[in-house]
Amino acid sequence: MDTLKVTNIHKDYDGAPLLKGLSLEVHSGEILCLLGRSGSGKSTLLRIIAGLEQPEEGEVTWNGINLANTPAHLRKFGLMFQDYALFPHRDVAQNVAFGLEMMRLPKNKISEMVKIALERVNMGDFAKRSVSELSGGEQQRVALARALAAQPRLLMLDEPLAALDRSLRLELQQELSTQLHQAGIPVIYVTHDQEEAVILGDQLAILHDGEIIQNDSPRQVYAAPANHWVAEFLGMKNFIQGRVSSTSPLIVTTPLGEFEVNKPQKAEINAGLDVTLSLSSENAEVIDAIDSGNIIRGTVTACNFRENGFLVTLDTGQEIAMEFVLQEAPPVGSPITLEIPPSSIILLHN
Amino acid sequence: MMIKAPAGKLRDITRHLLWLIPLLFLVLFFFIPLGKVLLVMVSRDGIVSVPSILKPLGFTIWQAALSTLLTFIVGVLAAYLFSHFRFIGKRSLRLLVTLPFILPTVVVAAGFNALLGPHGWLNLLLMNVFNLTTPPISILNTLCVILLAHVFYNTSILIRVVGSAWSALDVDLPEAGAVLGASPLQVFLKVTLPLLKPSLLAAGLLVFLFDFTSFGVILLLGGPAFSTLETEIYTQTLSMLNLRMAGILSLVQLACTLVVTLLYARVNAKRATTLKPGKGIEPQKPIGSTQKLFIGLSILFLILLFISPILSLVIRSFISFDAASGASRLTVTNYSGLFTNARQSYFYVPPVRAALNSLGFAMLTVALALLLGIATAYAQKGLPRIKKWIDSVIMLPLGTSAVTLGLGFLITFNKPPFDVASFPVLIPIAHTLIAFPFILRSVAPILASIPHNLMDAGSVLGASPWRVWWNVEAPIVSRAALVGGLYAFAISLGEFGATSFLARPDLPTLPVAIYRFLSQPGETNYGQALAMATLLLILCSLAMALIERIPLAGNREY
Repeated sequence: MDTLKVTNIHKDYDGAPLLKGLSLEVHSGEILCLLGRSGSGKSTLLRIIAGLEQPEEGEVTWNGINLANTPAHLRKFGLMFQDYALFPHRDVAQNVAFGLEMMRLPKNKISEMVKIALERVNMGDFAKRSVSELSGGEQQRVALARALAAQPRLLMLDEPLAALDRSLRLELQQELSTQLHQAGIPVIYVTHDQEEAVILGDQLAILHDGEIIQNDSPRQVYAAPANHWVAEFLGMKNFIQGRVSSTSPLIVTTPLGEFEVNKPQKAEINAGLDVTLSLSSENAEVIDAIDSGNIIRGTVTACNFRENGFLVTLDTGQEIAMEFVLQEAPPVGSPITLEIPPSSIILLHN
Repeated sequence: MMIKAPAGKLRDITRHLLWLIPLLFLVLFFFIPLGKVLLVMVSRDGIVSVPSILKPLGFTIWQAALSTLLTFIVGVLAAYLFSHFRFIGKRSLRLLVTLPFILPTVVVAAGFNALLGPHGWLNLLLMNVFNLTTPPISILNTLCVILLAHVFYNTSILIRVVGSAWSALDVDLPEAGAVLGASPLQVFLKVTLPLLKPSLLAAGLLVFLFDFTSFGVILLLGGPAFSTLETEIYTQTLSMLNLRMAGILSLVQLACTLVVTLLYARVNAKRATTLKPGKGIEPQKPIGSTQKLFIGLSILFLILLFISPILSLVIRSFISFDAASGASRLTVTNYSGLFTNARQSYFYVPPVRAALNSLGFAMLTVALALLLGIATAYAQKGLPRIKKWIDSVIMLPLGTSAVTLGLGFLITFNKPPFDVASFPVLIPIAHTLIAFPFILRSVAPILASIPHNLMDAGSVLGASPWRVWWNVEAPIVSRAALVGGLYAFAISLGEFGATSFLARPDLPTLPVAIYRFLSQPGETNYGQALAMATLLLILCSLAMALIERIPLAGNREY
């Protein structure tokens, strides 16, 4: 069982701090998806781990051994570049062979391993092709074969699918997931696409403002986002500010009324705590009678058809309009009352 | 179905007619003279022996190969420095290192003479300090100074070709190599070098070509002991009057340059396809003391190599040296002497006349080259299908040695009123052949890059075609034409190879006068030669500075 550990990394970019004390860990057989907006320093972190850049502070260790004095070419870490960085002066097979040549393996052994590596990514027939003739998806496969053929003890992928169109991306996500798990090594997969991160990642590490603000399984991240920013980044909607008024059952008082909320597993919650609620747009139900709690009242300002129902925009008197998906289209301009079940409300710490 | 408007038909005819201008000019002033040079081998008598061909050919190849090798050492270092590092004064150093490329050969020769020659600045200094009676450094008229001048000349080619390729190299590629286990040395050998190979080859061939056809440097710095094909053509024509031999040497020269040019064209085409734009290298400030030391020493070396001949020329032109007393003093007599006929002799031409001749010829060259260049650019735009073919024909004069061109003119135009003696306009015509491709290369890409919708926008906004041309196209094209014109001006001012065949004794140009003065004994002649070279240096640098100041879209690589 191998472990890569990154501790308290600080890195400046153009004089401004980019990474501010970032730490994370990844183990054999695990895919860690590093998720963050573009420009958040994801690629820089990969370059630091690869040894292509030096951090101002902090350390990178492999099974407890500090790598500060190990240059990139001796780390045996694979890195797949965003635009693949295939060598234009070498054909497909020669690209894949590059890492093996550096290991000074005998020629026939190299060609055998190249063949296997190319077949593994279904590119066996492309060995003699020039890399400039390849499509985006083919380049991606060759880059993966090249990275894996060198038998790295860790693999990093920098937005490997970002340059491809959507349908190809979905197809390759599955393929990539299988390949990466088969490799059995620690994998760090950088992306800005939440959907991709959820499909591929065993762990999600969310990078914001130079730090990992949440590092959990995808399921846990969605069930309990660490804060308002994470929830918004994940695409959650309908935020209301409130204060905890009772803890069992957990009741939050908001300007729109009282809401009963399911208790989060880990967090400790006391009465009087200021929190933010995010109401799921999916499970709202239209009701006639005005019951006690968990109710949103508003005026319909827009109603648009979507594949899973009608997306209804409500003016609730709050600054920001709310959005819910309903099965029946209400007339625009009419008042409406919705009930939100406690299981569809996520409580966020401020 | 498309119906062609009558106006369109008219335009087609004009475009075909436009072709006639450069074509007629080339036939009359390039192909016929060239043909005559080849014919002269059969039609004239003269002693020809194989060793007398092989000897200059062998030396030409030998010195060109050696020069290219040395240029590579300096040039790759400079290319690495400029593409990878940021340092104070980088812009100025870059300008300094590229300046030699536009300097006339006579200026460079005078510069090295002023630095290292027997009356040169360094020798005077050493003689003064150590009380010597003879100059201690005698490097002039050796192979060494020829090589030095060639390195001085052609380093800029490596910086342009290799440096730009190096800085455009996708930074991910060397890093991808490192991540795959390649050490820095392996990255250089297995990734960087193969990627730079086409550019290195192209630059090498270009440098070799320039060294191979070098004329002024060999004649002025090498002296009579060294003869290359070029200087041998000159000697055979003007001293030995053996035109048959000169013609054969020209043929050999032409064949060699053709082979190198063809190779260059092939390599260059390949270079264009392999160089795909990626994230280029961002030049960094040097880190660590080793890097700082390396860069400091490199900069110092480049400054010494490139500034010292130029600076020596200027300084030495303000010094007068009295051989009898061994004293030297600061003076402007070298300059004031330019205006007087010191020898009171009929054949003596005061240097100021030579300067005025040069300016006059340069103006004529600019006018002719502009007419030819712009006509060709418009013709090309109109008929893109035959563009490539015509393009190579037009570039032929560039690959032909100036000496061969001069010889061709001398043989072809041999009857009054169109002979060399009575028709001095032949000089600007020869200069135009060399200069107008530069105008074409400035104007044609700009003309092609003017988007059609810009013109359409003008039309839709209600401007007549003529107004559209005047308000949209003319301002853009004229700027490119100005740049090309300045190149033509500088080229004409400094041209020595062809002019040395065509200049009448009483109508010399500045370079010819500098050569004459330099090859005559006496401190006054030497000082005045340096003063004239300094003037030429200033004029060419001014043209270059103007070119640099004119903002121009598109590439400027020649």
